[in-house]
Amino acid sequence: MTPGLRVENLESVYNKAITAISGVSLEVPAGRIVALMGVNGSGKSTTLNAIGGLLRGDAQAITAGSVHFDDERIDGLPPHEVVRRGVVLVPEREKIFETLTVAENLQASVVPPTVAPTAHKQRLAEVYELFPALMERKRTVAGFLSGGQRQMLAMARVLLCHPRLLLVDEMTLGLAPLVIADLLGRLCHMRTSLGVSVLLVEQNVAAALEVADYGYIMEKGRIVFHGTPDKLLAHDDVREFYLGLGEAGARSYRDVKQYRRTHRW
Amino acid sequence: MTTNASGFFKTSYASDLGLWETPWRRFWVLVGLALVATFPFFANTFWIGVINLAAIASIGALALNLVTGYTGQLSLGHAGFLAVGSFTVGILVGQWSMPVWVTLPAAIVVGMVVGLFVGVPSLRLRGIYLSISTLAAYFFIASLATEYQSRFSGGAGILIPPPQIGSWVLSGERNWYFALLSLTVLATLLCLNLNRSHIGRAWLAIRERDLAAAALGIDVSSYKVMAFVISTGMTSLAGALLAYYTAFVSAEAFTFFVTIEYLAMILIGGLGSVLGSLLGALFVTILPFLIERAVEQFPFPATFKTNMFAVQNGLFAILMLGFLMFEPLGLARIWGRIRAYFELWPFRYRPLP
Repeated sequence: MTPGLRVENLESVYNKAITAISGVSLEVPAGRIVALMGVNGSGKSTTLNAIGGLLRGDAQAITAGSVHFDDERIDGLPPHEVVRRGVVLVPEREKIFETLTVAENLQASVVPPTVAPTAHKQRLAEVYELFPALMERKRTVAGFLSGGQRQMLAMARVLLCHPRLLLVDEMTLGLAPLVIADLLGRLCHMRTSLGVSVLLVEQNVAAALEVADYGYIMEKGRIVFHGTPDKLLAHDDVREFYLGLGEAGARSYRDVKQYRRTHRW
Repeated sequence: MTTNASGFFKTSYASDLGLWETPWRRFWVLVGLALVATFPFFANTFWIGVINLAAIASIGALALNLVTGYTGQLSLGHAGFLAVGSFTVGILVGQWSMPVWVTLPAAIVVGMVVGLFVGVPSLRLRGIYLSISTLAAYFFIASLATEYQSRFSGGAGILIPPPQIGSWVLSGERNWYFALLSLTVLATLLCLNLNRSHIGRAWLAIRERDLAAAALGIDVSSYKVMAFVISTGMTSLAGALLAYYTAFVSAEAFTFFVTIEYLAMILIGGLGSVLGSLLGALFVTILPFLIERAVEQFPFPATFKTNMFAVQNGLFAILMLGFLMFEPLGLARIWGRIRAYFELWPFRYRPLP
């Protein structure tokens, strides 16, 4: 009965043929940053889209399991209803409206009806304070922004939905290490100043574990390992396969495949 | 030109979203409107008639722009929606001799109901599939109209008496001009206000990226249906006005070419721009008359005069291609450039913000 997000035994099958995720259970307690990590195609984004209500239609669907947010069941709701409950997703790609200006992008967010106009104005000011680069470029067409600024815009826009839980998909993709550090710093800042919890999907394990309070590692659609960052960073297999810090020296790709086949965590 | 935004700083978000960018803008728009209102006092009846047709076309083009330019859903059923309005008037007047203040609202309501039915497939269909479903709606409406015409009006069209309110009859090009001008201004204001409200912002977001829009809490399907409902309601009004203005309703007037013409209007004018729709409607309506005059004035071969329709269509096609290739943002963009030139003179471009 803890507030926050609770995902239980989630399963999703694409085209009624390909199991994308199965038996995924995770928790994001209120006010925490939780990282969901894994290699390409391990099912991280599918999990995130399932929580955000974006797995709809015949081709993609949640086939089993449940998603609760603050003890309210939110799987099966359309995406705008999920957003209204405070769970907002930042998509991996195609996130900004390129032909609109920065200010227009920020106006596109739907404000929940429970939020007073004054509170929204204050939030807008806070967001501009958090991302001064956007304030300077208010009238710029968003298609002219750089990659890092686009990511900032996507985050800022999502904050204007007054989220209580952010689902962030691959925030660091294609960004320079310094920009990543900057964005992750802002994420931590948002958590404390605006009181949002975050579920962070990342391939960049080292960067993600720096800010996260807890981490889950996915492989082939299942969660194979989870724990606090200290525990994960100390784990041999995490060091070996996700951080490239194995003591046994560099192994060949064939070794890794063989290892994975025999040794499933 | 003092419509320049410089010197006017926005101090509140409300003023940032205001209808008029600066007080000067309002001044110039009112001056422009006053000039437009004096037009019938020095133009001859023929050209007033042309402009009247353009005004009706503007309402239709503004409506199409809402769904295609703003929401990004290509609608190929526009001629059908115009026919809905015309035939609503035709049936109500022809069968029951209803007055104009019943038929026009009825046309809007019927149009909106049709829009609801056409919009519902958009819950499941996207892109070209949705366009084909609107095309199907067009053929459905067109065949219904033809059927009605052959059963109930002996194959010919329906004659519509001029609109009458009390003892006052709307007739004469000049009176029509003011009636249609005021309706066009109302339609323009409706579009402008929709576009700066949350509805317009949701439409733009859906046009750009519907997935991201959904992730931001926009109810994509209901806003799409809303775009269709409002658009077909307005289109149907344009069709009803067309019926009254031409005093005649006939299914043959709403060929698929009409749809293409309306698409041409919003493309040539500039997709997603209210000003563009107005300019495009004006341009496309006047163009055939201009071509006709040009062919008469200049010593073209006689075959040009005898095949006027072919010449008009050919030039029309060339113009469309030219706009698509060289000015995809249309007349609105050209106007924007002219304005920017005078605003910024003697500089050539804006500094980076």
